[in-house]
Amino acid sequence: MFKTRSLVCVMTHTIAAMFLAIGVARAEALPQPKDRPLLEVTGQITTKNVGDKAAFDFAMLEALGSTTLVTSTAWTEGRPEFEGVLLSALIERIGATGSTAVAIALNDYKVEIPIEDFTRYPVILAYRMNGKRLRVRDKGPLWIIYPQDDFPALKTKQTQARWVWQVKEIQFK
Amino acid sequence: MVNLRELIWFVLRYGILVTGFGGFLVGVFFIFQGLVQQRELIEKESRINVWFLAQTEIEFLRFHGSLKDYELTPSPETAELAVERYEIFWSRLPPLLEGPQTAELRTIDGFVESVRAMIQALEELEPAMEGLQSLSVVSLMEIDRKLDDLSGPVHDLVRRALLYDSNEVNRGRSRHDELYQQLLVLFALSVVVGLAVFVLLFRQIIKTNRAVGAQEQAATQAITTRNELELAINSISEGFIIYDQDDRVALFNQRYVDLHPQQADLLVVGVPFQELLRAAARNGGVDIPEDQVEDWIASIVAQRHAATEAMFESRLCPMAAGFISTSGEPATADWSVSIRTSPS
Repeated sequence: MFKTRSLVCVMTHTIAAMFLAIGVARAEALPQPKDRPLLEVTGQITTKNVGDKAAFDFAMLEALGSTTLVTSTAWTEGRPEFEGVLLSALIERIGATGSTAVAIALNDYKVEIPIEDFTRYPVILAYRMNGKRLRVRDKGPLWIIYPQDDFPALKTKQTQARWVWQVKEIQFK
Repeated sequence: MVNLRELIWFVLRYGILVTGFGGFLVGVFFIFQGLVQQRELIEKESRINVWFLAQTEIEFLRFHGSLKDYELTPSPETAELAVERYEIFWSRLPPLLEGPQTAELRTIDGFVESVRAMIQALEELEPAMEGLQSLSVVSLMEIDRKLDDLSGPVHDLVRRALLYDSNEVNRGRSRHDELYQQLLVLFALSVVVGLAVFVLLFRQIIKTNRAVGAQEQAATQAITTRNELELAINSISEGFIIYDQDDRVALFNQRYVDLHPQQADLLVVGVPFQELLRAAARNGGVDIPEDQVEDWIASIVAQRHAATEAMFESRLCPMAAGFISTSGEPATADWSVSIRTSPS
């Protein structure tokens, strides 16, 4: 059992490292945001567009490719449909390294999230819920959404704290 | 070597008891550890709810503060910040009305109504917030007044929720303490019963060990005694034989064999007396017609039980005339002894 878990752990880290390596290799210059940035990515990243940061407006986030996720949440009724960018794709795009992503909300609430979460599960940075853009009052403009219905292992208090609303910045370290 | 075997037996016997008792204690330890963790969870859960509710009031105060900042220093930046704070505070309210996370809070009397009233107040403020930079001082003061009116219900909402949460935690603690005490009593009882069983088993094992030891000692003593008896009867000049309660040979000496050569092949411990009689008849030791042998044996056995050995013993020997037979009474109620002496 222990060996199997260790093997899974090693494989996961290897895949994560591959993701990051591919990200570094494919690092291309980021365009400048044309609109007001929704997200700033800081810390250990190789691709930047505004000083030491990578700033994304809505169009730039959408250009990373959208992923749809239907899942229940602790804060909504039913199973809303979320649309957003895969955090693994964001990591790849900006060539992020490190083992932890610090998600910072508009009210400066901070949560440390292992990058392994993003490489192991299709976690998205949602900007739409049920087809509508997330406003700040709807926990937007960006909300980290975990596929907890598809992966029951994610239904824990610990993971629940990582569903950060109103994300304005992600710092990799 | 014997000590080592005894040690292994000792370890096996008491090791099982000690292991069982130790396992019981370990199990109890983990149960109590689980209880402690459960208590920590109760406290933690409480803190999560308290944090979220307190955060709602904090966001309201931040919003109110940012609006005052705008009033003091009107600028696009302070206006934008005020609007953002307004939105953030609003974002805290809908989750109180939906989703499993706040389901318990919604059971508080008047909670849902209060939250709905707050959302309605924010909706009424929305046109003013959208055009914040174009508002007159009077309009700003009007917003300020509405927010002052809202601060009471917001605080009251949080206070009631905190009170409810505190009560829930207290109820959880009480249930936990009750369970804790029950387990403690159960544990104490189990320890007492376990110790009693342990002591009883221990005493029983000691008794059994002593009994086994005594039995072994008695068996050794019996063998020694028999050997000594054999030596003693072999050293006497008379023929000597003992029969047990079933009329079987129990002991005899060499002299007895020498005096009864016709029985020599048959004489072993355990041979029935009747067999010896048959052998005597068969070997001509007694002059009895063949068809009367069994009757004769039956009569001899009857006489034997009713009289002394001498009465028949002399007739068993072919050279009986050459011997003087002496015999005592039966040694016990069941056993009998014969002694044969050669005349000199």
